[in-house]
Amino acid sequence: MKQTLLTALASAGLLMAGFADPVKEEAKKPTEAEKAKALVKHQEGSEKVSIDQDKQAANAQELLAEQTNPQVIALLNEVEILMAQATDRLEDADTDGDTIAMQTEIIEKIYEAAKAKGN
Amino acid sequence: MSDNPSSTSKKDQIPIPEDLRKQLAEFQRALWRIKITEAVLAGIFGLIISFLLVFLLERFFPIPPIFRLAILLAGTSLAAIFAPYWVRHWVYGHRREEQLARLISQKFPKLGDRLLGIVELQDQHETREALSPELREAAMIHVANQAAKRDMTEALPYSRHKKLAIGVGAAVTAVILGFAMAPKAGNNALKRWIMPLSDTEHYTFTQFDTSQMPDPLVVPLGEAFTFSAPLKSNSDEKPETARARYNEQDWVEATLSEDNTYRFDFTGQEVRGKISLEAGDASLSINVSPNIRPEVNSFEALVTLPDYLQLEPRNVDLRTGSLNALEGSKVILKGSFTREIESATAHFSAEALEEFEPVDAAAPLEAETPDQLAEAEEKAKADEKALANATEIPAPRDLKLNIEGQSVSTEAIELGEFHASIPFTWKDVMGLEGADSFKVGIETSKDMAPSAYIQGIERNIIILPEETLEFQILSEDDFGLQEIGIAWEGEVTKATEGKPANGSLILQKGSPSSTRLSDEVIFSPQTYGITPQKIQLMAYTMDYKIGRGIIFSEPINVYILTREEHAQILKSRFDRIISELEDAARKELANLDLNERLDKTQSAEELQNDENQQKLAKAQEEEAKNAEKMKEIAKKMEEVFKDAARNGELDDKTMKDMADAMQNMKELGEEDLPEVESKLGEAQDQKSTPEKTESDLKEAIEKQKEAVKKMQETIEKTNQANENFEASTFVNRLKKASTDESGISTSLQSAFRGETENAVLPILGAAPNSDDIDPVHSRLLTELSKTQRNTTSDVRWIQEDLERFHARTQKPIHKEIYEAMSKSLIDENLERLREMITKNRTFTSARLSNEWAATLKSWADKLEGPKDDGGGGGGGGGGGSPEDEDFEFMLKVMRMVQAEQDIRARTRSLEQMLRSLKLSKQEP
Repeated sequence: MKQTLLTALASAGLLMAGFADPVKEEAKKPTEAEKAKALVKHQEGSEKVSIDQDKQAANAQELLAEQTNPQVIALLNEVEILMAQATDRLEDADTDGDTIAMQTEIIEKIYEAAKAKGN
Repeated sequence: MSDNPSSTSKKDQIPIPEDLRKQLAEFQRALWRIKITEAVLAGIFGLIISFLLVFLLERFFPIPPIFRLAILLAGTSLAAIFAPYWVRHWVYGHRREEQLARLISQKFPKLGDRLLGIVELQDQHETREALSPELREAAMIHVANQAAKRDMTEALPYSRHKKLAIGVGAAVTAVILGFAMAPKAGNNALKRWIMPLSDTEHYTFTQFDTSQMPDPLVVPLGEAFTFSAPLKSNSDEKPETARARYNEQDWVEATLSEDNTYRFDFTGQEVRGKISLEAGDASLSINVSPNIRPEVNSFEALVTLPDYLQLEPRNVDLRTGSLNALEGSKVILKGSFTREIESATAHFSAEALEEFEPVDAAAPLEAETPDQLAEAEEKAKADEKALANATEIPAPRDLKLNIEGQSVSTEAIELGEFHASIPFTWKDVMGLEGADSFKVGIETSKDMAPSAYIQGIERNIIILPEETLEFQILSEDDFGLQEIGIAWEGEVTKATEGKPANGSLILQKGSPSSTRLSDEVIFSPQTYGITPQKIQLMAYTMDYKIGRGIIFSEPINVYILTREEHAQILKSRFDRIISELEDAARKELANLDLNERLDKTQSAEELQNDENQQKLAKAQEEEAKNAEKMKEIAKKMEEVFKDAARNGELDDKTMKDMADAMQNMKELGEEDLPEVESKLGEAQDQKSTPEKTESDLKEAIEKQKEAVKKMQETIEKTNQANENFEASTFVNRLKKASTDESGISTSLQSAFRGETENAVLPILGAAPNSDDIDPVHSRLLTELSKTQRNTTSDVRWIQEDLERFHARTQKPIHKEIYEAMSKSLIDENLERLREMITKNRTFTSARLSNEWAATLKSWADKLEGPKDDGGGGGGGGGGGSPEDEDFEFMLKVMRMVQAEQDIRARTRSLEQMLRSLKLSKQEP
């Protein structure tokens, strides 16, 4: 029962995930002024996301502190490191496919940690 | 006369007497005259006769050149061979006296001999001693005297010159008559007689116009055909009828028509042959070659589309004869045939369209600003003018054709607001026409507006600002799309600090040949700074049609909610789930009653009769339905649970109750109820003994009792969770009311500070419904009044719900808040506040709404109690069982996963925005 419930809960969260599609690279060159304006707008949004990503890292750290299972600890450690890297990239307004892939890896590792905890 | 060479001297000769000499000379002249005349007449006669022969024979048939040559040679031979011979014989052969004497001797032998004698004596050579010259002389005189008594002309040979003269005269007369009667025939015969090898056409009285009769004549293979034989206009004879036949087939007769033509109808022919034609004295032979008619190999149209589409001309296959082309296109029709073409026709005729609609009448939302509207109006006028010109139907005309070998192409046809029909006819170099005309029908069409769709998402959707929508947009056009994207337009339905959102995003650039574009959209309100409000999200597209503007899809409504609003929605969804669960439990209980009744009232044997078996089957069916229903409820519960986890406003205990209930629902739907169903099925097994059937039924009932019990436990858990949910929603509802009041206050304060957009006049002191108040402020007051009414209503409901909730749960905190609310007379005061807003008591209203916002917030805080620093942390309910700890861990993990998914979706959304901004700057 416990096992089933835990797996169901974790799956319920993961079922919502859609894996990242590869980004289509087809952009052409805008003018310098327009490019700057666009980048500013993009950077503001990216900073907001980086703050949330950082909060996530804090939550992961908190969760890590409560764990005793070495496998879970190892996985959450990796999650924390990945989150920190993702935060750095987002602070640099780097929202490309690598950042998204990193976030996907974070989700996978959290799920692995959930499974490890259930075992 | 005597030219005999002799060695004798002239003085030794004794000439014949002078009289005799003269007489002989006359004879000679007469002879020569007659014979020369005969020679000349014979020559003339021969020529005339040969001409007459040609003249007469050719009245019956044309004499071949070789025979005409023979006739001519035969005729001229009399003059060329006989006459000289005759002249030589009679003239040259009778030039001397002894020759004449011999000729005379033929009629007068004695005289002739004597004449010959003296001629010889004249030339005798002897000595004087042997001959007597006197004797010779005397002999000569004697002969001369005898000759003088005779008429020498009687000695002339038989003469034909008179008969010949008569014959020549008769022949000449015949010729003259012939010429007089048929001068053309005479002339023609003369030419053909004189120049037998020339190609002078044979003259007949009836003359066919062969220039209009092809030879060989090509006729369609195996098809009946008409052969036309026209007469020349100057034909001397025009017989009423003529006849003709194909090879050795039966003769076919035809009468002369008014246009001097005979028309013969022949049956279909499949082999080469000749038509023999006869009319009057004319006959003709025409070669006939049956052949297959020229057919269409292929037909195509070269369509040059209007310039604005920027598309290359395209070839369209026209074998069906139908072409659908865009208005404004230019079309060149090209046909290829099985044989070289000599001539062709293409007749263009146009007809008006049945339906006539102004251009772009249906094009929606073409202008977004007043400036664009003005531009659009100008364009519409220009379009109308162009339309008026375009709707002129061109007059029917024969198209100019370019014929090259087996190909025929038309001039360029400009298509407008009309349909056109162009029948083609053609004739090959053999003179055969196509079996049928090839008709090209051209239907013109308009450049249709592109379509845009949103798919993969519901039409009405509720999300939190940080959530992300993923869906697909799709656009199609008949020619090409410039770009696709999304646009959104917000609507703030209540007074808040947020502004209505408005924006767009280019997702893909198209090209003149992109008829279909689609893209995945990742839309996160937070990425674009969109605060809670209702937005209409649309896909947009643009084609290359000048002046068409942007085309939008049907919008989807996205309700971006605050956490409080979201929690309320979740609460109502949870209520519905509980209701459905209770309903399912009731049904299960009813099924259990039926099964127990069956077990108690029927013996084991009776359970196997048909009636009871049917009841068992019905019970099994009901069980299956209930199992399905339970699965459905479990699925809904899972959705609510996920959304509740995302909302984050519910405490862990409530979440745990929800998770337990959800797990029970899943087990019921997937295991417990299907087991009951299975046992009921076994109880219907025909092979079972009565005891086995009874045992199966009892087992089914036992399992069903367990399931019912589990359902009741689940209901208890859900009710418990719902109570907690409800309690937490009081907090949310109070917070929402507080936020609404705060929003009203903020809007009023902005107004009296003069910060309201587009407002010119001050709001303070302006009487409502008067000229003093700015229309913008008037509208604002109406909206705020409406918001205040809704908030008042919400607060009244919170108060009532709190009272009922306390009655049920007896929790003191709820009583405390309820009493505080009653004591404050909040409902009356808020209604009064609404009246003040309506009366434009701006400052007071702003102050009061701010105070009530604070009061409502304090009640919410009191209900919520001290916080455990929520988020992913937790540990609030710590110290529980290991199972609880595990649940808390999983809940945190789930929230963390959800949060990370949101972050990833927002990152994608940002990346899409970045790409869109780059795309929007591309050169078109």
